[in-house]
Order: sequence, then structure tokens, then C-alpha cells
Amino acid sequence: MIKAILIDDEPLAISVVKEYLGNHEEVEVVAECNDGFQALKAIAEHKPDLLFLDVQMPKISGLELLELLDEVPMIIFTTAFEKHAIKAFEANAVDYLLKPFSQDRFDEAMNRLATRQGGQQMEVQRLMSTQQVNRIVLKDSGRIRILPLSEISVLEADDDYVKIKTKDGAFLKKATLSHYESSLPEKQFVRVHRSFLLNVQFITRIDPYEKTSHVAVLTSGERVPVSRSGYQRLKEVLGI
Amino acid sequence: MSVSINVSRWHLIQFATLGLLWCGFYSTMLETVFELPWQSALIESLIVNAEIALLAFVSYKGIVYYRPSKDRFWFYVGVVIALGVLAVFIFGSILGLLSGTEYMNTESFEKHALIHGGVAFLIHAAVAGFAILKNDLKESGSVQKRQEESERMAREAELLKLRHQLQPHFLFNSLNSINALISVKPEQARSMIHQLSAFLRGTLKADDVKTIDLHSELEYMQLYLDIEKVRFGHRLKTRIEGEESCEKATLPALLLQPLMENAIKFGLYGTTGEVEIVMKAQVHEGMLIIQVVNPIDEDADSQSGTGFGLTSIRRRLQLIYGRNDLLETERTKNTFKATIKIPQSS
Repeated sequence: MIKAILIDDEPLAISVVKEYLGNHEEVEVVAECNDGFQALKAIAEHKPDLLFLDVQMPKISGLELLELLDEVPMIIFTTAFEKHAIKAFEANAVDYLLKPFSQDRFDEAMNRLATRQGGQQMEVQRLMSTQQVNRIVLKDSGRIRILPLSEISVLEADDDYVKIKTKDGAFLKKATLSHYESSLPEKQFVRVHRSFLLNVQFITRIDPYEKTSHVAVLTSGERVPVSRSGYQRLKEVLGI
Repeated sequence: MSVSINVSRWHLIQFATLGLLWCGFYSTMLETVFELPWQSALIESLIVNAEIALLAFVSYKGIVYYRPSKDRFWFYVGVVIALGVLAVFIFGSILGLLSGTEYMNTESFEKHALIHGGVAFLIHAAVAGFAILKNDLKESGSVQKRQEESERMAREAELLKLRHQLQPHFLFNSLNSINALISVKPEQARSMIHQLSAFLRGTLKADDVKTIDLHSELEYMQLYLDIEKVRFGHRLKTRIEGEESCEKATLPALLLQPLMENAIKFGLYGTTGEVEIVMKAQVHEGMLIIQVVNPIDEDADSQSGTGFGLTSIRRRLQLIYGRNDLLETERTKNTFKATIKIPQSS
């Protein structure tokens, strides 16, 4: 038996999937969710094997939801319109169904599921980097936090994690700094150092430090080291 | 048609009068300078001026028709001199034909030829100058016209594009809802197809030049709302309030639906619970004022609520009314308010 959760903010969209699943007795629907928060709870409770997931949803998107999961089940995306990311989705999910889809197309996705079961490697970060990011969503001691980019001053590499600093404190997220370097807006976040990604809006001044490097002083008073190549990148973005 | 004929007939009378006056003056001059009998002077004047007028007419039409570049100064000088010489030559031939008649005297030909040539030269030069000026005016007029035309077309194309910017999400998700309804509630599926068709047809037939009455625009928006309520019925509530003052108000078509769409998009995507969107309309000091308030997520960054929808509405109002201040937005902790003002012609 395959345990599945259906996630879509439109009840009718869920009912189509349920109807099409009528031909697939091996799948059991354990929960239906209309937003990412409900889905997160349901996933923790049921530990499903498969998600039918809409990408555009209230509060947190389908992709942000995946980022919050420790273990990502198999995914079949169902969405109306994605200009850029179709290739990446196809490579990283069982399938990608464009609404409205037919029973035949749906059955094809289920066939793919049968052949890929167990062996799927979901690269959520690869998917995220195809999307335009304007905030970071993470779990902080059981709570979900949404951090708008305008509130993030520094991202710092910390082993397997990235430490994200805001005025409300620092948060850890399992990711790499290069992932954020490539997905965050490059005019706003500059890799000033091997271990630091800096939001230029928080810089108050840049002081020389020792012979060849610099240090950026932030509005909070925090000092962030700037390497020689980091200084070049910073100068380019700031236009100095 | 009759008006233009009258005008050209009037011009003809003016020209003929001026020509006769000129001939009279010219013959008086010949009479005085060469001490001719007045009959001889008058005949000579008529012959000379008739041929000058004929040549001038031909050269004028030629220049206006072929429009040679006005920079070709020596070309014009050449033409004018040639016409002067031609005038004298023709005069000589006519004089040869008439010699021996009562008032014509071939002996005075050489002295007279110099005067006639000079006059012909001056008149032809003036006519050529006038023709060039006319070409110039015509050209600058048509350049200006073309420019105005292309500006108007660009503006219309932009307005058309702004009106037709349908959110593909809306279309595909609506089709998906219909797909869902077909098997369980075929009647509702059918009525949704009709609503969607009426909505799409509305986006195609609207026109920017004419304003429509508020009532029709609200009806059109209702089609959109009915579709959205099929999709999100479980959490979308709308309230529309119009004061009596706006019963006769008018506005450009397809303005309210994008305003509502923007509010729904940010209201629904920003929150997870039930969402109420309120639209209020009133007329105040010659302006139709429409206000839409939607709830927003308080954690959302300051960008949300100002989507493409509002940018496009602002641009349309700017193109139609030439004003930048007709759309205002206001954000509080958990609401977003957009207000548009439409000038009412009383």
C-alpha cells in the first residue's frame, strides 16, 4: 500500500486527483490539506510515501514545504503554470502534472512511480535555486519561521548548516552557503568571504583590516570579515 | 464637396483679378517708358503676361509634383533663367506672327525683350520659391501627422496589452476546476464554462476610449468573482458596497476586475483562513472613488500586495487620464488598501 497525502489550496483540484486515483487501488489517501501548515502536520503524523503537491499555495509554497521536511517522500507536482522550472521539476520529482491533466496523463505518472519507487533522490535545493527567492522559510524549535530577505543581515557557513542572522536572532538551516549565494538576489547578497554572505543594505562602513583584507561594519555594530576577492565583488555591487 | 469647389472658384477669381490688375499696370509702364499708343502697350502686356503665367503655372505644378530637393539651388536658378529666355523667345515668335498689324511694331523688339525677360525671371523665381515653400509645409505637416499617428498607435497597443494581461494561473486553474466538476457536478461544470467564456469575451471586446457605467463593470467583475468562488468558495468572501451617489458613475472598462484579482491573490495567498475582501464605491467632488481592502499576512515582507496587477492599473490610468495620482495604496499591519479615483465628466 502506498500512503499518499494530497496538498492543494483548491478543494476541486484535490477532488480531481482523488477521482483519478480510483483506478489505482494500491494508493491510500491518508490526508487532504489546503495549505502548507496543515500539510506539515499531516506529514509528521502519517509519514506518507507520496505527496501530490501544488506549488503555489498560501503562506508557504510547495517547495518551501519540502525544504522543511527532514525526509522528503516521493513527489508528484500538480501545478497550473511554471515558466522556468519544468525541466528541474521533471528531473527531481516522480512527475510533474500540468493542470488540467487527463486520466491518461495521470496514469502515466503513476506508472513512473511504480518504476522509481524507493530509488528517488529529491534535490530540493536544486529545485529551489530555479525559483526566485524572496524569503527563507525554516523550522525553529518546532515553529515555522518566515524570514523576509530584507530582515536578513548575514548568512554564515557553519559545518553542514547555514547560520542566518536577523534582528530577532540567529537561525540554523541545513544548507550550503553556495546554495544561497546562487539563489538569493546577487545585487543584495554578496559573498564577501568564504564563510560569509552579506546583505549590502546592512553595511554602514568598510574599514581596512591588516594588510590586504577589509572588515564590514553593520548597522547592528557587528563586524564581518571581507576577503580580498570579496572586497572586489562588494565594490562591484556597490559601484565604487 | 460643394464647399471645396466654391473655395477653388474663389481663388480663381482672386488670381484673375490680380492678373488683370498686373497687366494693366504693365501696359501703363510700357506706354510710359516706350511712349507707345495705349492699344499697343495693352496687347503687348497681355501677350507677355499670358505666356509668363502659362510657363509659371507649368513650372509650379512641376515642382510641386516632382518635389526636387530644395538644396539644389543651381537647378532652380537654371530653370528660372531658362523660363525667362523661353518667355522672350515665345514673345519674339508671337511678335513675328503679328508684325505688320496695326499696333505691332517689330523694331522695338530688342529693347522690350530685355524688360520682358527680366520680369519673367522675377515672376518665375517668385513662383519657384512659393512652390518650394509649399512642398516644405506639406512635408512637415505629414511628418507631424505620421508622428502623432505612431504615438497614438503605440499608446493604444500598450493599453490593449494592459487590458489583455490575463493571469495564466487563473485560466488553467479554472479549467482544472471544470475538469473536476464534469464528473461530479456536470451542471455546475457547464455553468462555469459559460461564466469563463463570458469573462474571456469581456476582456476582448472592451475599449479604452469609451467609459462604461459602474453597474456594467461590476457585473463583469461578478463573473470573475463567481469563478473564483468555485475555486476558493470555502474561504473567499466578498462584500461590495456602492453609495447612491455613484449610480451614474462611469469608468474605463476592465479596471475593477484586475483590482479585485490583485486583492484576492494577496488576500488568499497571504493567509490560510477565511478571507473577506471589501470593495466600496462612492462619488466625491467629481471623482468616482473605489476602494478595495484585503487582509494580508503580517509576516509578509513589504513587497506583497503590490503585484503586477496594480502596476498595470496605474499605467492604464496614466495613459488614459495623463495623471499619476489616481491609484493610491496603503498598508497597515494586516490589511492592504488600494484606492482608485476616476474623474467624472459631468
